[in-house]
Amino acid sequence: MAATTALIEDFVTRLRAVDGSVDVVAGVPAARDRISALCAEAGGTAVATAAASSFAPGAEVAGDDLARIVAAATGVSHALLGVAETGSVLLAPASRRERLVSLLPPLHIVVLDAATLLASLDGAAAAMRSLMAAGAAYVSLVTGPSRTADIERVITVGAHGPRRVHVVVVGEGSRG
Amino acid sequence: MADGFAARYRAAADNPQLGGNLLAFQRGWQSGRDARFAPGAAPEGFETLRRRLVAAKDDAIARQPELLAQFTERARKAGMSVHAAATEDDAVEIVAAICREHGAQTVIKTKSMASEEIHLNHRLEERGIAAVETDVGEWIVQLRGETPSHMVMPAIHLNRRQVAATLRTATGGPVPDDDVAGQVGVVRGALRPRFLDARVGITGANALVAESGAVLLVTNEGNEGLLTALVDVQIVLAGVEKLLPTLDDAVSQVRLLARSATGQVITTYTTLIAAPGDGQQIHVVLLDNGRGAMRDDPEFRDALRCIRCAACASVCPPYQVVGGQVFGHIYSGAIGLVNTPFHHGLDAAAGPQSLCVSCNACQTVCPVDIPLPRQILAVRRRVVEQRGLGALRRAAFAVWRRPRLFGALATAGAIATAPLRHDGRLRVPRPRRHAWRAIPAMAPRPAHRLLPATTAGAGEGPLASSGARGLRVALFIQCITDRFRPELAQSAVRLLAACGADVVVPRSQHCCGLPLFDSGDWAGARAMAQQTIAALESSGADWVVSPANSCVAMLLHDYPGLFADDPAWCARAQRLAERTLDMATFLDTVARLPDGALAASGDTQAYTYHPFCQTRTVLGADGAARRLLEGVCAIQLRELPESSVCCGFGGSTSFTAPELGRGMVLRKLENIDATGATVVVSDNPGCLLHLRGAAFAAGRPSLRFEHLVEVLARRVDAASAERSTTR
Repeated sequence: MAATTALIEDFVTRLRAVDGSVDVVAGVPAARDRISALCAEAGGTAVATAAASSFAPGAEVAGDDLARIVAAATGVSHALLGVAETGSVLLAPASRRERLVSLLPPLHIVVLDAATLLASLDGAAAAMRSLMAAGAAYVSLVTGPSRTADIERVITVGAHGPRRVHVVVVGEGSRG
Repeated sequence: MADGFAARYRAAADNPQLGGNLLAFQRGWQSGRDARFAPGAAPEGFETLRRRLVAAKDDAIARQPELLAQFTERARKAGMSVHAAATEDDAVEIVAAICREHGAQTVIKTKSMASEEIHLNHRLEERGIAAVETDVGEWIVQLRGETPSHMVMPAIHLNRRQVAATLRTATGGPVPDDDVAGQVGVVRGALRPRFLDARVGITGANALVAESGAVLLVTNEGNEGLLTALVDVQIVLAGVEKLLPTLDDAVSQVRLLARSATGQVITTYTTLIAAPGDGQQIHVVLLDNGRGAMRDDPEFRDALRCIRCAACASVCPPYQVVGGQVFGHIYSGAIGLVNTPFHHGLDAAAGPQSLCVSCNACQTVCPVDIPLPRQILAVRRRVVEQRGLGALRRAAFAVWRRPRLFGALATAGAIATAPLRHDGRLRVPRPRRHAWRAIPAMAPRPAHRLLPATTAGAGEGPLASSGARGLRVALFIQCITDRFRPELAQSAVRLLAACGADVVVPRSQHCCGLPLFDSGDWAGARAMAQQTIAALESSGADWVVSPANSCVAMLLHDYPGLFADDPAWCARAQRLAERTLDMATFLDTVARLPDGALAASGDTQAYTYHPFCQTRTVLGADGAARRLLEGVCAIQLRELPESSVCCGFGGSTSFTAPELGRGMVLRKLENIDATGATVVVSDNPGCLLHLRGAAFAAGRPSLRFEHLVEVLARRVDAASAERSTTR
């Protein structure tokens, strides 16, 4: 699909511009392989949200164990959609613990289905409206790794949240 | 001053690091911000984006009670508690009570300007509750016992070595002096346990979305995410002006906020909280603290649009010199001068408002188009109404308002100082605070004595067939030109006559009233404006022009407001405004001087152009000036870096706050040096006088500062000299 290809390109460009890293892979098995490799590279343990667990076979599901998330080198979560305008992914973690999967570990891996990519923030707002109407307590657009420029306006990646955000965009065949 | 402003100003002026730290910041901010609004870098242009957000904010302000009810109803339905706090004290008590109820002796915080506004940390501490900031910049200033100097970048007044020393003391561990990333790592390591231990947390809100009953929080550092996930009790402290009708309006805000605040497309985290998380309580405390009074005040209501991006501080030339802590309260930059009186009383703004130089840069970058320059002048007027003008200004204006008395004294002054006059300057010792400038000398004879009452338009010459041919044009000389640069007025007459216009110089003209208006003395300004209007009306001219763009801006844009309550004078002011123009616009749009008409091959000077601030921000006449220089004179201008930054003249500001004038003019001279220009062209006599004096004192005696009119007149003179020799 040409439109999607263009959106993916925009998304990748925007995300890289804010120090995010990104891969585009074809299908779920390829995504799984890529995520396993990323986790292995990061070393240590990995935790995943329930929605992302099928993409990260080596990761433990976050559950209620805070210590496990604190200790993890990698957190894996699943985005509801992506926004090409900004390079953002939309997360709606089901619990307070699941929110921490994207925040405490130094590496945050996000699984994003290419088919959910939207062109603009307007579409994301509509999705956020529906999610909240359906009872979501917390919806968050995440755009690259945490950062600060509070000292001399020098951009430093990795403030209180992850030092690295890697989005795995899952193309054609992801629903298979 | 009793409120400590003088001491804060002194401390800032004496701080050797502040100006340099903030200059680097402002330059970085400006280029980052401009890049984000460049064509193609945003979904729509700045003006379109801000028109949309202004509409949303204005709608929210108009419907505030209704939206407040809607937000409250939806948030409560989702399980949040909503509290209304009419005053600072109410808000402190509500927050303290929640902390006590949960036995919290320590609370963690993310950045909240509302909490700074009510001095929450200090007030909680008095109640035995320690508040720990988690934003990197906020934590650093908290460790130093300071307050944030900038709404978005709280510690931007510090450099990395100062930060390192602070972190070393706080953590007792090693902190690298030069490695900012290493310093951030130290902060992260030190605060991570505080997040994990906290039970109660306080956040601000970037917006309260009424349709969803949701709180919008935007951050970069991830501290908001950690805090809101980890604490069992979250307190959201927000001003009621944060209400927005819909999520689409929130998107409009998001598109402008990070671009304006930090030069980002979007912040890393843009989060909506619509309900407490599992096992969690959320309390939303809605703060009024003077916002209701602002809403009821038509002069200031628009300031409630503010989204706290701090662009008005980041762009503000005086802010670069003195920083945000001189403001005395959390809101710094232009918006701080406007809203501080409502939150903390008029006295709190009396000192800081004196720093504004009316360059109007703030309004050009404000993403919600708050009429900050006009509002700051209104604050100044109210300060003067309440506290009086001050003895010095009162005495000076008493003379200034009487043209004949002033004329006699000025002439006496010119005669008395004649022996000290040298090359346009007075050779006199200057007070230390004014050592950075040479004192200009008054001319032996003022312009109004030198100029004929009428000068007939030229019948021939390179410009004689211009669009101004046969028009009757009145020249408003302006007081500074009259006494300090009469040759500028002479140049203006020669130039206009060369364009074929019949030039009249109304004899009874004196001063447009700008110095009084600018000082908050509106009654005095009105009297002088009436005198000026009457004098110029009597000329019977088709057009009134002046080389003093500050006065033209006053006539065109400030007179109507000055006479808002006086329909007869307001109408006269408007009629005058309809036929008043600055010289550049007149020459460009009425005279329509053709390209190349004043080209000169023998001119080897290197020119740069520094527009007077209001030439750009109020008159929009910088384009005309450039066409005259680049087109008509065929001059290849060298681009002046930061040409939009004020030179620091700022009416009387450079006299009342000389350190400010010094800091700003040195920045300007540094930029001029970078061009390698030998002639700096500008279009306002006050700025030129200021620049000339500072350049001379700074050891650049050969650098020339000329009015646009002088450059053009010189070319006309050269052309006619050439004609007479070839005859």
